[in-house]
Amino acid sequence: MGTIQKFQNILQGNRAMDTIQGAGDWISGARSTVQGWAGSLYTVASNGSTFVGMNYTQVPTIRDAIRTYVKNIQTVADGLNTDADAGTAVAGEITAETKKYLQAIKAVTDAYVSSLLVYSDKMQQYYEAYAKSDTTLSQDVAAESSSLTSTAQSQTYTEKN
Amino acid sequence: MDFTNASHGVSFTGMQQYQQELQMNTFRRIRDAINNTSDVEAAVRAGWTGTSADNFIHNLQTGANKMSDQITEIENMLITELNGIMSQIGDMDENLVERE
Repeated sequence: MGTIQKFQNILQGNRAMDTIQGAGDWISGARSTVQGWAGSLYTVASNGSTFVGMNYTQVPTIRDAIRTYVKNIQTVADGLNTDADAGTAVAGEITAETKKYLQAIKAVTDAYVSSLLVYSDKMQQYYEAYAKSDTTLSQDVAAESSSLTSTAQSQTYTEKN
Repeated sequence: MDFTNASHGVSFTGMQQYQQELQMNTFRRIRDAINNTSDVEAAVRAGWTGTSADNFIHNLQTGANKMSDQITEIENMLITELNGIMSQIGDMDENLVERE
């Protein structure tokens, strides 16, 4: 085996490839960690009482702000591999090594923004429930009002309660 | 030497700049995006009052801080790893042709 070939084999075999394999395991662990704490931050969203004090008509505006926040993070995360390729100082396994770490960033940011999007969907359910209640209440009041008007027109009405 | 088309190798003089660009550009940009929660907070403040709103904003900020720390941890690991590989390449380079 030539010296150059031996050099490359040693480089790949002894360190870079082992490290890259290890990085894959580590990425998976990091993603699980983020999923754990990010999920617990918003677990309370599954309880409707979480939204006490919220003006439901503002839910679309809040969701838009969350979407923009998430989109900004995803745009940066999606472009990370381009950054790894930008340097001409490195090549081969070093670029691959860098990309593995940037892949880890993409994985953990995906887990993070996903937890926010779950919460955003809970807000939407809250919004729809209240919008439906508002509509029903409005219809009921209108019907009752019409009935009262009719009653009032036909007789002198006295309060019952 | 142009390393654009090289399959293996590293420019030692360019490596430091590469690391700085990663730190100042890549990692800073993702942290900035994560930490920029102000628009979400403003939207929440405009349409949501009380303890629940405060808790949500607290959780949002806590999450952003934790994510920022996570990114820094990944950044430190990468820079350490790149330095390690550089060091190893340097050692092997010195021993590439042994004296007889």
